[in-house]
Amino acid sequence: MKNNRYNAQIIKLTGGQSAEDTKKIEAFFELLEEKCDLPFVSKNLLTEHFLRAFEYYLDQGKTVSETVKLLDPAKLGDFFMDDSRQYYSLDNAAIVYPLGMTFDQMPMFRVSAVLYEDIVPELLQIALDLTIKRFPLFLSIIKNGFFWHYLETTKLIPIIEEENDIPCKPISLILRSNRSFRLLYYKKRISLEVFHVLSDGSGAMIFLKTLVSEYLRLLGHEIPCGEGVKDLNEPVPEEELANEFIKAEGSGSLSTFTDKKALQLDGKLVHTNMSRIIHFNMSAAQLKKAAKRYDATVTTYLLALEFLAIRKAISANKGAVNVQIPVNMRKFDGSVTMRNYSMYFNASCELNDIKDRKQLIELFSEQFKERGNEEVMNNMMKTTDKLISSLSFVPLIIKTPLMQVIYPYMANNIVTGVLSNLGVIETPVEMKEYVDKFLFILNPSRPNRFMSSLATYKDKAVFTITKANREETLENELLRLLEEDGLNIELEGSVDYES
Amino acid sequence: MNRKITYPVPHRQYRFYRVFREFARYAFIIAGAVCLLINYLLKGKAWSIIVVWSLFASWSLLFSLRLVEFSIFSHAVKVVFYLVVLLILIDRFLAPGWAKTVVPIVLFGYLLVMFIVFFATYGRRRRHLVSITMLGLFNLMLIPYSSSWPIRNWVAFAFQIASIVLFIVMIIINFKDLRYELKARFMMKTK
Repeated sequence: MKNNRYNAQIIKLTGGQSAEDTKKIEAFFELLEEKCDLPFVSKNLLTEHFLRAFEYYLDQGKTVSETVKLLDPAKLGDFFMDDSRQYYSLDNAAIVYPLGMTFDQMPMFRVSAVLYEDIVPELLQIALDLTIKRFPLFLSIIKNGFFWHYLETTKLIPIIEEENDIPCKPISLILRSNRSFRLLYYKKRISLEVFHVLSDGSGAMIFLKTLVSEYLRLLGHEIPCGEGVKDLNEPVPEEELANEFIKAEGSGSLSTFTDKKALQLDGKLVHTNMSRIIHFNMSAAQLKKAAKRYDATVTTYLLALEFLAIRKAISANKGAVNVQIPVNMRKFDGSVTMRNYSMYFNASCELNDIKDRKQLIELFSEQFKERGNEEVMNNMMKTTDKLISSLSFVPLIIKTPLMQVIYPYMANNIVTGVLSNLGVIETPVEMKEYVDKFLFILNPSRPNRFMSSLATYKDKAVFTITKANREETLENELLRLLEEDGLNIELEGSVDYES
Repeated sequence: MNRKITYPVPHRQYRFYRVFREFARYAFIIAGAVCLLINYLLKGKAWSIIVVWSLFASWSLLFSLRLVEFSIFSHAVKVVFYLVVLLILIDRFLAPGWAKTVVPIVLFGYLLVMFIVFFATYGRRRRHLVSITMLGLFNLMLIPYSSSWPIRNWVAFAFQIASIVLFIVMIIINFKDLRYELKARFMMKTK
């Protein structure tokens, strides 16, 4: 073996092994070295990851042959064999995020998979090392262009972290630690936190599912591809990296972006990025049944309950309540892009008009048809494209301070909160016995006091509220309303981060 | 609200910097405004311009770090920019006659140190390419300030020539990477 900081440890691994196994171990690490033709630091890091996993397997009583087969460095492919880089322009949704962000506020979200067993960090790290080649966009860093920010792929070795901080905290974009995502583990949970410039919830979920399937393979469970689990050995199709917004056709009127200033929940904003997370765990069948009782979809039903809860959590006498509903555009054209491809509309109601479930469900069903249809969404996409094209020649140095002023008026100030339904998450059947549930968490953006999201897997629907104030009226009222409709709710969540 | 806690309790809260930054913002604005007012009332040399620039530089270097592509290298380039402007302002408003010689020497020295670091950290060289190019361009932009025809300040001229040579060498060695950087950074399309 050549110049490697871990030579001594590799030799230690071979201690007590037969001559044949020693050869296998040496050949394994030589192949690993071949597969990683990167600067010294990166090469050492990757070796360390494999060394730890190797030790873990041997400690678990696996034979050298079994270990070599499971960890096979050939699975790294050619990804780490050169330090080449590629740049991508940001998609039309992502382009605004770096312009509006500050040190404390970064558009982040989290998707998590909760397994039935505790996570083995050594294997999770290898799963990430092997999965990342299929999703090179996730290894990108954001850079300043003269006209726009852009993404540049890197070959930095990704590192997992044990979760010990508030979810969705801004990622440091400092060049030395410049990843645009985090992979965290905590007990039975694997969490992927993504800077929104890379992807949206649907794209991130595909990455997470593929990663979890690779992790399960390393544990010895074979999971076939399909249902969002990608084949790690296939090349990355161009369509997965496409900016689909440019396909939009429509009139493109600017009015689609504007709305009245919305009311916000009572209570002071906390200093941290969020005050708490509350997961409402419930049966998906029960939830569907409750929605059916009002002849509503699950999203409309939850939205109606949310408005009733908001009514209690706002002391103002009048004003508009707007809840932003993201719309996954993939459902209209079957796009397979991994990048952002969602538009949104506001479900709105005057505070004094919020009366009961039935009335709200009727109102929102109408608004979903009127505002959330393909034509309107296409129109909005066209507007975005036109706006971006018209700003193309303005240098970034001018655009950034301007957007810092304009952005809140076009985005956050016109909404009270967000409700994002990730839908029913499908996985291969073989995966279902190892994964308990998926979670979806949105980071509240100022001045909004709450974000809500729903992720459904098997018969588990997890409705999540993330808050940016300390008051609990919204979640207490939501719990009461859900229980009133006969749903059995199991509450989970975080401590109060600013108590 | 009673719930099963499934998230770790965070170790630390980093609120000091945030609070300090808020305090500094107002302190700097008030200090700058007071200096301008006192200088206006007392007349004399325009020392308050130097104070205001120093406050702005301190704010920019300590409290307004770049969100994207921040590195020690890019920060070092930012430092020399503020420093050189400060030297020119002191020369112009307080004690004239020396900056035209001192600025090229400072810039050459800085460029030389940055070049050594740049080539010493070979693996990370590409990341710092834009920062060092900006430093070289800043140097070129200051040539008309220090030198005029016919040349009288030979010290400044010699240091400027040396800086230009260093810059050209850097461009030649990194031509391919520099071309890539220019293509990426001047991209206008979002397609």
